[in-house]
Amino acid sequence: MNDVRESQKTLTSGSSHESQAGHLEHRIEEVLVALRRVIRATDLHSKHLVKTTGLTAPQILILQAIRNIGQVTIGEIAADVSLSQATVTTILDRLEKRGLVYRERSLTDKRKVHAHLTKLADEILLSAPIPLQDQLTRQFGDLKEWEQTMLISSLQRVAQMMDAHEIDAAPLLDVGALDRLSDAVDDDLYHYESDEIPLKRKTSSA
Amino acid sequence: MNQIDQVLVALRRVIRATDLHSKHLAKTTGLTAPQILLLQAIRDNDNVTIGELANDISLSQATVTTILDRLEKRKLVCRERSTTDKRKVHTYLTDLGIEILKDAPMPLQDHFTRQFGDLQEWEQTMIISSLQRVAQMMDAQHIDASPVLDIGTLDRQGSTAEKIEAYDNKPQP
Repeated sequence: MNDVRESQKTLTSGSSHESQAGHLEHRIEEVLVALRRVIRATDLHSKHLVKTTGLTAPQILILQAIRNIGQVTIGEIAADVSLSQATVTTILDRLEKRGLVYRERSLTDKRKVHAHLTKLADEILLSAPIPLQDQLTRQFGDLKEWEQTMLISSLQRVAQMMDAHEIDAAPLLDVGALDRLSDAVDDDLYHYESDEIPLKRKTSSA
Repeated sequence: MNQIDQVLVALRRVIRATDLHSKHLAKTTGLTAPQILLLQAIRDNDNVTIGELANDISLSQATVTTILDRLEKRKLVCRERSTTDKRKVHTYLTDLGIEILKDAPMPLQDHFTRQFGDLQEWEQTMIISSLQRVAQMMDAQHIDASPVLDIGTLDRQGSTAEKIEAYDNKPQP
């Protein structure tokens, strides 16, 4: 297996390259720390949302869209939050099951179904923390155009270096699958006893 | 697509790639990214102490110790007191550890690091400042972070993707 640290070591062994290699190592550390901060902030925020509201970021964004638009169809919600209609439908089903939204046929156009918030949803939204992505959006909007352009190309470059530029992604700052159950981001997810997990190798060599 | 949507899509791609890669690692090896990085560090450094390992992968000694405990429990590493200096304890890979590492996919971070290293210096600088700016806009500039491309806590247990899916599909209480 190719190992980056190994190639760095070969660089360090030539003394003329020593400071250059140390420099690169430092930059790599900086870029990884910044990335981890961004990822960690998103993850911690998701968990915070679930803890305070029992909802995921996409669920809250959809509730907000229903509140802000009023008399809204699934297609309109999907366009507003930039998700597919299929994803929005799954999320709405979950929200309906939890008594947060209900759907009603339009009085004026029988072919249309509108989504509405229940009182409970109104209340939850009032006390819900601002989704991290709203905060980022606001701050990003305050930047100069050249800065916005620079940030976009840098992030696209990073995605490309992670071979992620073709991942089908919605403009949503969130970690898991967008239509997941909200309790799927609980900490417990990471705390299975290791003994329960048979190593693949172990079973195949047995 | 407007500007902010482009930012959000790129960020989601980066986060998603990291998440999917973690799950892939868990599924193929049963290990987390930090666990694999640590196993690699042990393989690449002979007679290595915990302090040296911590230094090599830029994690705290406490975190390295917790991860090593888990790896030892799973019989992937063993610790032995140095024969030349009784105060030192060295860590080694077991045969199982060596074998798992051989088949393990390359951590995303190694792949990324290699490509990043190939960039011109001005590009590296631009990317670092851009990411730092984004972190700041997310109020994340003070989050205590290690240079590890991973999502959950660094000393968590490894788990399998199947388990995660089972968890995802669990009926709501």
